[in-house]
Amino acid sequence: MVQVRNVTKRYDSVEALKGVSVRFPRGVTALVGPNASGKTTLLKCILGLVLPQEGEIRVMGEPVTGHPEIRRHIGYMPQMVQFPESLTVEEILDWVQDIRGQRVKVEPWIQWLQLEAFLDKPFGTLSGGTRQKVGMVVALMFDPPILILDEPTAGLDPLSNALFKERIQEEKARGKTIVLTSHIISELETLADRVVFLLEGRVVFEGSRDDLLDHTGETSMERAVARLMAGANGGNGE
Amino acid sequence: MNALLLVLMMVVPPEQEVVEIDLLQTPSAPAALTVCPTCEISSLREALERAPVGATVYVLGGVYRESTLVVRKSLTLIGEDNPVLDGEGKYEILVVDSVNGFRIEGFTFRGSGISFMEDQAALRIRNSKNCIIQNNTFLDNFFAIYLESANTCVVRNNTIRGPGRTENFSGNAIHVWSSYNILIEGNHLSRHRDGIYLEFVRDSKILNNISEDHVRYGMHFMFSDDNEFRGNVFRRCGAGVAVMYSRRTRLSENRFEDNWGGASYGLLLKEIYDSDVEQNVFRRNTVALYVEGSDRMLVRGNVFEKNGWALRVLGNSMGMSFMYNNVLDNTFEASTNASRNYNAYLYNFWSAYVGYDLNRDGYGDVPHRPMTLFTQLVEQYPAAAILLHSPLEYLLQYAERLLPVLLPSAIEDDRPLMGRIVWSKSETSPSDTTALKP
Amino acid sequence: MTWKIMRWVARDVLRSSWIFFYTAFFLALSIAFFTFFEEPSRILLSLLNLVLMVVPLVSLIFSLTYLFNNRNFILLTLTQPVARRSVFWGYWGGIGGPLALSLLVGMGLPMVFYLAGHVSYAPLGALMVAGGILLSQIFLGIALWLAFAFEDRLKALAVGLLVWMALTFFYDGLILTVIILASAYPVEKIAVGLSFLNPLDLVRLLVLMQMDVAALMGFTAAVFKKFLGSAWGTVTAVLALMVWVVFPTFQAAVRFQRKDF
Repeated sequence: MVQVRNVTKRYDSVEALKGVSVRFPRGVTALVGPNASGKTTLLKCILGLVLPQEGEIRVMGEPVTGHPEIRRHIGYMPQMVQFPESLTVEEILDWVQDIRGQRVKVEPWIQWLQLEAFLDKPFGTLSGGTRQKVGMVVALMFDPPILILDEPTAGLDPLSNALFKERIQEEKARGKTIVLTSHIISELETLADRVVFLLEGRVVFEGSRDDLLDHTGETSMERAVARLMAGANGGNGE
Repeated sequence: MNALLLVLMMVVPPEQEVVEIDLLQTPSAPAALTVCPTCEISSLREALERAPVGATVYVLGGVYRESTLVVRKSLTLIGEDNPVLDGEGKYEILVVDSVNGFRIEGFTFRGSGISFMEDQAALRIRNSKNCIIQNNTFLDNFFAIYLESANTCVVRNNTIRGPGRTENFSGNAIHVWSSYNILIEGNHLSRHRDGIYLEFVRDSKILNNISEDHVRYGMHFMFSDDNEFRGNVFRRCGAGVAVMYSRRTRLSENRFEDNWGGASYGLLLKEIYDSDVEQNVFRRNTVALYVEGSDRMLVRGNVFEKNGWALRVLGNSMGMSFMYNNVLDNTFEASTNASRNYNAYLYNFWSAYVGYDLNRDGYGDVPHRPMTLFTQLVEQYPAAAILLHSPLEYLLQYAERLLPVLLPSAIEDDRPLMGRIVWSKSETSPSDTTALKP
Repeated sequence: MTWKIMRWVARDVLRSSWIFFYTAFFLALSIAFFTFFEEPSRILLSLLNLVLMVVPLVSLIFSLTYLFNNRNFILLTLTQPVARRSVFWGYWGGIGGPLALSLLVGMGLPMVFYLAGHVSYAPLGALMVAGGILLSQIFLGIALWLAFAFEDRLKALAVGLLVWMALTFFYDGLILTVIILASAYPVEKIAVGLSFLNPLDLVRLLVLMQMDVAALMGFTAAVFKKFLGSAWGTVTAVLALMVWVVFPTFQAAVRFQRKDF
C-alpha cells in the first residue's frame, strides 16, 4: 500500500533519512527506533509534509509529490494534536468534514471515546488526553484504508487506551494498512504484525515480528528491540 | 458736515497744522446741478463742465457711459438712486486732477479698462488735496481707487469688489502713492490683486477695513512711515499682508486669518524699524508673523493660534521684544536661522510648554525653547519638511522631552507664563492673566 | 478549497481576544478623537498617527504570533487532501481579512457617522482607511515570510521588529541624512523619490497632501504633487506599493511550498 524507495532527506547539516527503502503492506507495522532515528521524518515524507531530496514514495500506486488527493486515503494522527484554540470539538469535526468535502456520521465516534461532554468546549480548554482523543477521531472517522499514527497512546487514560487497541485490531481485521510508532514497545507487541527498525536514518530491520524474535534470539519484542538498539549503541560504549 | 470736519481733524496728527477743506468753507451758497438721463442735463460730462467751482452735482439713477471724465475744479458729486459710471472695460472712468476739495459719494463704478502699460483706475485723484470718497461701490475694475499725490483724503465705507483674476489681470482695490494724511476706513475690499497698496504714504490711518480674497496681498505697503493700522481684517489672501521698508508703524487689533498657501504670510515685516505689533489676532496662516531685517520691534499681546509657524525671525533682526503673546496650538511655535538670540522673548504663554511651576508664581520654572529640533531642521533644510507628522518627527519630540539640552537655544523665553493671557477690552497692558498671581 | 480554509481561519482569528482588543482600541480612540477634538484636520492627523504607528506593528506581531501558535494545526491541515497553495492563501486571506475588517469597523465605522456631517473630508477618510488596510496587508506579508523562513519564533519576532523599525524610523532617518548631506543640491526631488519607496512615507504623504498642512511643506509639497501627478510618479507609487504588498507575500508563498513541516 505504501512504498518508500531510496528516500534521502537532509536538513541543513543533518541527514535524517539516508536512502530509506521500505514497504508498508496491509496489517499493522510498528515503526520503531531510538529518538532522532528518523521515524517522524519518514512518516512526514509519506504524508507530503516533508519533501525528500531524493527517492520516491508511492501510496496506493500514486506518487505522493504533487498529488494532495492521495491523502484522502490516509488517516493521520500526529504526536502533538493541535487545532485552533477557539474552535469547539464539534466545529473541529465539522472543519475536517468540510475540508475533505466528505460528510460522515460522527455520533458513533463521539460515543466511542465519550466525547459528548466536550462537544461545545473550545479546543484550547481541553486536557492533553482529550486532545489526543479528538485527534484519534479525526484520523479514523473517514474510514481511510491507511492509518498513520505517531505515538497515538501518549497521554491516554487506561480505558481509552484499551478502546483504542481494540479498535486497531478491528481495523486490521478489516484489511487496513496501519503504521504505528510508540516509545513503549510493549504497547506494539500485541498489535504489530511487522516491525521496521530505523537507526540513524537507515532501515536496520524490516520483517515480521517472528522474524525479529528469530533474528535477535529474544522472546519478546521489547527485548528484541532493546538488543537491536544495544547492538547499535555498543560501538559508542553506552 | 461738522462731523465730517471732525473726522478730518482726527486724521491729521495733532502736532501738524490742520488743513481746512475748501469745499466746506465756500462763502456763498453753492450752486447745484442735477443730472439724469431724462433731465435737461443728461450728460455728466456736460454737468461737470457747466458746474461752477464749489458746486454740488446731483447725479440720479442711470448708467453713464461717457468715456474718461476729468474734473479740474473743486466739486461735490452726489449720486442718488445709485447712478452707474461704466468704463465698458476700455478706459479710466473719473480722473480728478489738481483740485483742492473734492467729494464723491453714492456712485457705482464698474468695468474700468485693463492695461498692461498703465494702471487704469475707476477713480483716480491726482495732485490734489482735501477729498472725500465715501459710500461708493466699485465692481470689476482694474484698479478701483487710485490716489496719486493726493493729500488729506478720506476713503470711507466703500465696497470694492474686483474681478478675481490672476495677478497680471487685476490691479489694486485702493492704491495710494506719495500722499499723506489719508484716512482709509470701514471699506470692504475683495478680489483684487492687493486690497490696500501704499507706497510713500505717511501720517495716515487705516482703520476697520475688511480686506479679503485677494489674489496677492490683503495689504502691501512700503516706504511709508508713521502710519497706523487698527481694527482691520485681512483674510484668505494669496500672500497675506506684506509691510516693507518703513518706520514707526503701528499695527494693532487687526485680524490676520486664513492666509494659507505655500508662500503665505499673516504679516510679513521686512526692514521695518521702531514699530509696534500689538493685540492682533493671527489665526490659521501658513506663517503668522515673519520678521526679516527689522529692528526694535515691539510684538506684544497678540494671539497666534493654529498657524503653521507662529513666528519666523531671520537672524538679521535685532532688538525685538516679543512679550505677553498667546501662542496657541501652532505646528511650529517659532523658528529662526540665527544661532544666537538678539531678541527678547518674555512672559508669553506657549501652549507647547511642558514645564512646571513649583513656586506657584505663575511663571514656568524652566525656560521655554519654542524652536524644536525638527523646526530647526526645517529652517535649515526646507526639504526636511517632507518628514512632517512622520514617526521620526515624534521620536525627535520625545527625545527632546527626555533631554531638553537637545533643543536649540536661539529662541528662549525665560519667563513663560503658565496660563493664557486674558485681556480686558479697554486696557493696553495685561490686566488679568489666569496665571499671574501676586 | 482556498476559500474554505480562509473561512475557517478567519472564524478562528475573529474569535481571538487580540483582534477584539485591536478593534476596540481603534473604535475607542476614533470615537474619542471625534468627540473631543473639534477640528476635522486634527482628528484626521491623530488617526493618521495610529495608521502609521499602530497598524503595521499590530499587524506584524499579531500575524507572527498567530502563525507560530498554529504551526501544528497548519501541519494537520496539510495532512488532509488539500494542496499547499490552498492552505497558504487560506491563511493569507484568513488573517488579512479580519485585520482589514477590524480597521473598517474600528476606524471606518465611526468615520462614516462623523463624516456624514463633514462630507468634504470623506475622500480623505476613505484614503486613510484604505492606506491602513494596505499597510496591514504589507506587514501581514512580511509576517508570513518570516513565519515560514524561521523555525524560532523569537528570531522571527526580532527580525520583524527590526523591519518595522527600519520602515518606521530608520528609513526617514536616511532621508533626513540625505537631505542634510546633499543640501547643496536640489534635494527635494531625491527626498520625494525616496519617500515613494517606503509605503509608510507614501501613505503619510498621500494623506497629508490632501490636507491643509501640505502648505507647510512648501516647495517639497509642490515637487511631491508634481511627481505624483506625472505618469512616472503614478507608475512609481502604484508599482512601489504593489511590490510591497506582493513581494513579501510571494516570497512567503514560495517558502511555504518548499517547506518541511
